[in-house]
Amino acid sequence: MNTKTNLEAWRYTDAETDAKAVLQDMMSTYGNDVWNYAFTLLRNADLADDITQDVFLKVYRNLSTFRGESSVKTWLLAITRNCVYDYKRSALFRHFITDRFTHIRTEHRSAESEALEHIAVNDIWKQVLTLPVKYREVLILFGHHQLSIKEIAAMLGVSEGTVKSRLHHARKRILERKEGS
Amino acid sequence: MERNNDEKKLLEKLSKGPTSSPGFSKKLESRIEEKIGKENRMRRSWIFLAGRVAVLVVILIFSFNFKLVGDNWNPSPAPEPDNAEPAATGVVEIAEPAPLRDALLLGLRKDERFEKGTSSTYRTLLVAPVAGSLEVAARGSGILLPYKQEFWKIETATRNTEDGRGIMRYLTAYPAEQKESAGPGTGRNRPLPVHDGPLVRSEALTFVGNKYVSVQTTDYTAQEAGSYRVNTVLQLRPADPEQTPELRPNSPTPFVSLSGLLGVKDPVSDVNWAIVRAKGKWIAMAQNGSGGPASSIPYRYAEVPVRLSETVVSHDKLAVPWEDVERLQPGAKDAVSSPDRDLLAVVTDNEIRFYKLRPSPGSDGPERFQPLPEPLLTVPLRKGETLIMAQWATGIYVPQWIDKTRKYLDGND
Repeated sequence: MNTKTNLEAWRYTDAETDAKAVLQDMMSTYGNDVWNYAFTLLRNADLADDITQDVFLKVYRNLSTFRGESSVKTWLLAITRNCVYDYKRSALFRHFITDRFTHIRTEHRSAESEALEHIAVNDIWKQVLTLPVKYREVLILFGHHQLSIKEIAAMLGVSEGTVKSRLHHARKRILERKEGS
Repeated sequence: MERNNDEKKLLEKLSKGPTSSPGFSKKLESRIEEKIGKENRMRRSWIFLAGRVAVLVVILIFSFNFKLVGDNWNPSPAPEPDNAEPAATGVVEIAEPAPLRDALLLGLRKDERFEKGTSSTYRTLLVAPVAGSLEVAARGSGILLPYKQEFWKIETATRNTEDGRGIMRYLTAYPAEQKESAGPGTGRNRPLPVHDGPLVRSEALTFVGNKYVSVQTTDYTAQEAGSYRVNTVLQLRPADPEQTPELRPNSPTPFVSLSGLLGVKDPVSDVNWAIVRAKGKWIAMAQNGSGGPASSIPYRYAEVPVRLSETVVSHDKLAVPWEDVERLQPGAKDAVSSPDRDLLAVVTDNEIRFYKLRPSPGSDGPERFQPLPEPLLTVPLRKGETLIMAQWATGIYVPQWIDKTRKYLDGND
């Protein structure tokens, strides 16, 4: 087990290289989590790419203020959510969506159908992606990202009771649709 | 019943990603890295330009003052900070360090050998800037660690072994708030009867991190054969705090595998590994060869060629090369530096010295740091004490940590 080369290299890296290495580490560990969350909120792969880029740029710029606590994943998902909602709120986004809808309609596609087309894992995901966003995101945070009710409530800024209620309705809708199909 | 099964299936299917191929592609990763590289190049250009402008402004101001006062100019020397180096030029003053910003929570372990075995004791210190100067802001016995948004404590407890062969000393973790809320003689504080007997097994910490700990175990019935394991903090919780808080279940000891945590696929042992301190960094060591309790040969260990990820250790990068640490403090055994690169703590055999860091003047390349020659603070160590935890707080967490550690640490170390 010859580790000397790698470890010695680490010791002599400068601050910038170190921050890059930390970011690379975060991207390899949590890149998919960030992308998947952005994708489920936006149902658009290109926008998920853009949001993921924004998230990791923000993380890189603010690494020195991050104390590296254990819930890095929760921290990243919260940044992702903020980025998505900032993006949605921006006039640029509205303009972009208008253009995109015009473009999409000419091709008889929607963001939702694109998402459904893009995914191929299973029918459950297809159904989840058609849920209203408030139900969709609690279900994804709980079922896919394995966050606790408490963590989800803190991230969304709602009570734990609200999270439980949304989770219940989300599950119910999915199961009813499944039974109906 | 069927509905429960459906729910289970729903969660199982959601545990996979929404897309057939990973959405976070290598292409996207490269795009982000490229963007960061571009930003860094632009930032360096601006810093370089701003530096040149600053130097020019300083020269102009000096020239202007000199011209105004002429021969009557007899400047009295400006008072120097206690820890400042003699400045070679006026420009160096631009690089004077900013006030300290970060706080360091240190966990120390001390082993004491006695006739029947070894006993490890722990203490925790918070070194933080308070009212502009660096000091030990809180101290106490045991290990106090930040865990998620709370603080937890790790202590050593004693109980009889299940087979009645003797007693064992084992590690136990619990939320620091819980200890405070439990009254004496109730809940966790209720003492359990421990009978006399030989020490059969003991546990000690080699590392305490974000949510993982590394545990060294010694089996005194097998010629003091030692082994290691890594646990999550939660795995050190007692089985049922409401009933028998000091007892663990008789199930096998839980552990975090080397392959699971660090992705090392081909270890000799996936269980017998440790995280230990080695000259300014945390490293992973794993069993490398046979031996152990069933053999007369002790286990052999080798460093694992992997970098510990952010989820395991945070801010584990020295701001100065180890050679500089040794030059500064001959006989240095270990060192840590702050995330904001403003503080360096150097560990020797009998003390920890805290030095202020400042950017090295005159380096055109990547930013480098150097310690000021005189320490801001010196904390004495007891004989044989070693570092097992170094957690940094930055920004708004610094005052929070000072408050919390003062609340949870007993002040007696």
